[in-house]
Amino acid sequence: MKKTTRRQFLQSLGGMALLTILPRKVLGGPGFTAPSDQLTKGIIGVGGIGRSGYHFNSSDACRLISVCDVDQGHLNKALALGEKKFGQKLAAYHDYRDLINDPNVDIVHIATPPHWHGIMCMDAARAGKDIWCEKPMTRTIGESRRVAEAVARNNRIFRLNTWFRFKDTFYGLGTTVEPLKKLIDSGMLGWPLKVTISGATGFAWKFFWTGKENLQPETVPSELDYDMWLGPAPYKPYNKHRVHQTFRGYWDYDGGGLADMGQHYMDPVQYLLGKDDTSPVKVEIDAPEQHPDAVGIWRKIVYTYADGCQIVLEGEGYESQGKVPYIEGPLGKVYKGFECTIPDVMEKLAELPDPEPQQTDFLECVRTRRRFALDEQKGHRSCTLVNMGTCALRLNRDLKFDPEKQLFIDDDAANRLIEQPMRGGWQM
Amino acid sequence: MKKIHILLLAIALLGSREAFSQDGRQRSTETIVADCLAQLPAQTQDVFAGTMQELASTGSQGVESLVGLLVPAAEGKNAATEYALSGLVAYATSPACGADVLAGVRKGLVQSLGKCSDKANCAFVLSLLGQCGTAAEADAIAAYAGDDYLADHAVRALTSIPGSESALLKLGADARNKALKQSLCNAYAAKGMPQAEELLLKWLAEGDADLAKSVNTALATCGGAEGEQVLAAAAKKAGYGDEATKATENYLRLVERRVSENPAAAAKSAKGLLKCGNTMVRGAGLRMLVEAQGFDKSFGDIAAALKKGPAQYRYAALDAVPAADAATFARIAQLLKGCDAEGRAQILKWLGDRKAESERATVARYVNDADAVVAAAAIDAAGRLGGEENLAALVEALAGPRRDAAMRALLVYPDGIATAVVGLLESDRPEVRISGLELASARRVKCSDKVFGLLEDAATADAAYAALPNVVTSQDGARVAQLMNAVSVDRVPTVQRALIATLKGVDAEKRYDAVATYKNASRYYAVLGWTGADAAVDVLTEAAQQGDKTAFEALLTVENPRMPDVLYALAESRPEYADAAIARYGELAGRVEPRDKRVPYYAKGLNANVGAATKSKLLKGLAATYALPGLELALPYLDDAATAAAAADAVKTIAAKHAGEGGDIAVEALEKARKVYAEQAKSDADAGYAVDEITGLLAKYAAIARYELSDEERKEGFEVLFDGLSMDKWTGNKTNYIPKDGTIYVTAQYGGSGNLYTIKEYGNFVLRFEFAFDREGVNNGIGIRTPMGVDAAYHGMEIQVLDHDAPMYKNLKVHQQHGSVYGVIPAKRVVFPERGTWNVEEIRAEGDHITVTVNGEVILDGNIREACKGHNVAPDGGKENPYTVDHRNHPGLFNESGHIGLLGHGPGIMFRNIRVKELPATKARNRR
Repeated sequence: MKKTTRRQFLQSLGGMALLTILPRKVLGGPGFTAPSDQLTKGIIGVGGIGRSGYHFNSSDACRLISVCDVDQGHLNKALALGEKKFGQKLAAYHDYRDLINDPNVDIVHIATPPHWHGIMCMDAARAGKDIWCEKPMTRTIGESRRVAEAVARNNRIFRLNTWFRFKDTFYGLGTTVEPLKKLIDSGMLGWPLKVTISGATGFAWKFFWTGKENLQPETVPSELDYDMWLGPAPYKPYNKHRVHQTFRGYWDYDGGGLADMGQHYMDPVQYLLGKDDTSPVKVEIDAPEQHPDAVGIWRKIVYTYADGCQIVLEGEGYESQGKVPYIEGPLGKVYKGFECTIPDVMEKLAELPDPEPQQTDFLECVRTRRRFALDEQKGHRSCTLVNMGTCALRLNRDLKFDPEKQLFIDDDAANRLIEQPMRGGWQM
Repeated sequence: MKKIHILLLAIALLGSREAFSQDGRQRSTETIVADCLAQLPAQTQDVFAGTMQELASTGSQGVESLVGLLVPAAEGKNAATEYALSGLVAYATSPACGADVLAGVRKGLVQSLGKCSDKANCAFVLSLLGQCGTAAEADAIAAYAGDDYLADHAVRALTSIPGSESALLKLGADARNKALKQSLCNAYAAKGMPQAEELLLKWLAEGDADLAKSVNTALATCGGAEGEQVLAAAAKKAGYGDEATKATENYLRLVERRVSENPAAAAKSAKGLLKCGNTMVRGAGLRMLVEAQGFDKSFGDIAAALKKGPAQYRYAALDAVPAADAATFARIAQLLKGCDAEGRAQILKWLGDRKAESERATVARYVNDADAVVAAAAIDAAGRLGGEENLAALVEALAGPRRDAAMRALLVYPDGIATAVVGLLESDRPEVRISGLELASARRVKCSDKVFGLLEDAATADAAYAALPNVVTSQDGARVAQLMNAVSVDRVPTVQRALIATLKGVDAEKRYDAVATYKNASRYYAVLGWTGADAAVDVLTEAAQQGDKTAFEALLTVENPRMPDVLYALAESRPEYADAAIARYGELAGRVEPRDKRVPYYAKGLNANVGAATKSKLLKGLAATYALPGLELALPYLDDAATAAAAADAVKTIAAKHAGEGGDIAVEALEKARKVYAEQAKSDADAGYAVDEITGLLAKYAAIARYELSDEERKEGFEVLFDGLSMDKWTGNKTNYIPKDGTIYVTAQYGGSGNLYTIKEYGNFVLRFEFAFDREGVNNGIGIRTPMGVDAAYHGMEIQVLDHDAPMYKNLKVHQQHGSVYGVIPAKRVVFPERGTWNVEEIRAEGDHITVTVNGEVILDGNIREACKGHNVAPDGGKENPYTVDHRNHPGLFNESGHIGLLGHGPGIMFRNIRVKELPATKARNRR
């Protein structure tokens, strides 16, 4: 049979392509080299970030072909946007499993609330899809661990979507993390290091993501499939504050500002400290008591690794006063704006080799089957940072952790938060 | 207090039983529970531990009382009770807590479960049992599996509980409906219960696909030989693809599990998978094979995978290679020859990713491969691995078509590249020399001699100049200065940077002199500015004042403590520089510590004649001060569309740090800011949160009751000076004196100074107010008949306000006691109530007659003229006045009128309900 790239195939079909798009793998197979092939993606969850310009887009390299949401309102808006942006009718699904099983889809992009991420990643992996998952990776330590296993078992390419470890200005630092990585690897700051993530060093914790107590049951809007929105989460009577733009305030679905921003802020630190394959041995908490359902605020969370490195999170409104270093080592400090106590530091760094390049083109990784820079293992470890914090916060006590076994030490109740059983027919 | 009463009432209505716990104070469980609820949510770990210890002391009774307080959501509020119950469970499960406490909590939860009629509340209690229960509670929990609403909650609780296996099995044996069976499958899966296999296989036979998926997932962790057979057959039947019952995935999971349990059997199963048609499954099989029987025995299969592909299978094979040594790397590297280009590229990248330094030479051989994909992979790996061979190969690649990739690799290259770079600079080919210059520049190779030599060559001049600042040393100063005087204008900035680079090795205080020796002044301005020396500031300022733009631009980079003033002055005298000067001024202000000390800088900056963009920058800096006076400063900018966004952000940011503070000004600013955000919210979802946040902040002010006069005082003609929110009648230090929670609260943290005064002046009057001390030793005062900005105790009159009971005042003189006309008439000593209590005071000033009443007691009733026998100042004109109690002159004592002032001496005092009534003027004969 004469081989045809998908692009040629599509060109020959002109504008009628939609129903006949073949997924890349159908055309693939032995001998196929397809750097120019167009990949396809489907987005699950198009109410928030999934419908934003960041993700709701198509390019020569990858085309958005389908969307899924359990809120018909979101879905209608996404379809209208698809018509407007691409002049095409997107395939629309109510049940994410239909999108995942759609043979036209190469990449599944998961942009739902986090309580769904684990199941969806798992289902996408076993259906042979590559995965782009929004942060936080999952809402428990056990779930992200099992996602990592399933992705590896099924040879999938996985991207956890936060990106500061390889691009963009890293909040208050005023630079990418690259010079920081060089500085740390050079040993000029000494060891161990303490990293402070705080308003004082240029990071905001978004404490507006707090939940409300005493929610009154309300009628579920007709466009929303609330049972499917809840999915694996325990059944609780509907109130509009639980869903959509405000879900982060509830432990059942997420973990407030810590979970929203934690992986953005801490994943690069994990990279900087070279802790991609381990976890801290201790987490300490200073916070008001948390409501069992509604997420509250916290003042301080301190993670300590076995070698003494620390990550200190300071809550909004509880920042240390005065000049606070972002990174502090026995030999030097780095402040906001990459102000460093080491004289002429940028020059000294320039003499050193750059950090090893990272694989940051997700589509290229999908095509060549090379691991993405922030893959399932690293994502699992940085998400574990977030979820160790939420466990300590919910129990209002300091916890010790075994990074090998990935269990809390001598604390049965904390370990019961590592695996939180799912509802009825949902499981990983 | 109100809260406790309501709760006590609620408990009483529930029918309090005997329930007396024997704590030292003989309080009943109900009292303890009510006291504790009033403390929750605990704000600190200490309060948490203390409160929970109290609750725990009631044994199971406290839990039962608490659960009894839960009401259906539609009928009331459960939050306080939920905090208490959840907190108690968290406390009791803490490793530090005694086993008996935990036992009491469990007992209480189980006993109260039966009395809990609302299902949502019942589900909550079940979730708590999931957090702390044991096998002993399992049957009580399992009893709820028959209820459609609660079944899932009960099974999830059992899943979390260790030792609940037999209860779960029993539920399974009796389970009739699918939903419950699925829940139980989850539980068996989570617990990995081999004893459930028989039951699971029975359910599988029911033929329901949904249920089969749940069963299969459970079999992956529970299944033994029989389960494996069933899953293997199902996976095969599904063509090893993904389908509704997820047989393939779960078969893989089962085999994966058996890799550690029974490696030989697992290896056999895994081997079988290598023949299937699904690449993914083959990949998983290969991985498990390697894990089960080791790398050596699997090498043939790995080699086959690498040779044949496809890419995805190769990826799995390479990933399956365990942490490798040199021998392993060598075996994999040998496979390069047998692979196609794609395969080679994958192996080369893998060698780089795995840091296979022993294979440096192998990788180097492919760096200049004819195949583009292979060469790109080798270049990438070569950069990561380092080594002489790779350096040579990469240098060679610089001259070829993959020059950019080779450059990137050389920047990563872990060892020194100086020698190679010098070699490149000596090349005959200009493009190679340019690559060398770029590398020298990027890696700071100190080879200035060579670079100077390339400046003249047209082919390499641009690259050589660009490299110059990065390759010079402190020895090159004179040479660079020579260049500065000679080069064309467009090269000047580069040469300036080079000169700065040569000066970095010179002591900071000697840099100015070093530069000052060079001529052609304006070309050196940037360098002078960089030195930051005072003399440089003088030179540059003078030139900039004359309109020299180069000098002005240099000033914008100067680091010198004088710069804020210099820039502000320049902004005033040269309007064309104002925006740039003030923008830099704001940047410098942002470095002042502590933050609140930045406020006066921003206040001044906002007064400068600058555009909206600059003002917005200043407002952004103002926000970061978190200082309350910033609200008033930002207020006018909310009305201008060009600055509204920045002003609104400043208001929100500052107000969020000062909830309930700032009075009417804060309210006005917040309301305006909310409008700004509401407008933005039409196109930006995040702005919607800002609107909500501001609404939340405003609610705190709405909750403050504005003080109003009593009917009686209104009839008498009193005027309110401070109603809890408005500072309209006051002037002066509104920085330290701020409205907070309906009081004027004095705090030292805002960096203001001076006193607060009424705008109006008063002669004869009755002043009434309340005050409270919130820390020990507070010292304040009420100034009367005083001018502004002077020491009221001498240039007017000060009625002392002092926490005179504080030990620090044990040697206090009587004329300094609270209520005294300071230094003139001592007051009777007040015995203050407990600190924090409000005191009521009245000051009556009628001619020379002063009366002070505190908490209903007249503590001073005297005549100032008589007290000093008419001699407020010493008759001899000296400093010592024998007629006043403090022997000092009080020139303002007989002022006819003046402002009323709050005289600040530090933080810790609150005032409220301040009102005044003017009295008719006294007859002239009382005055001289």
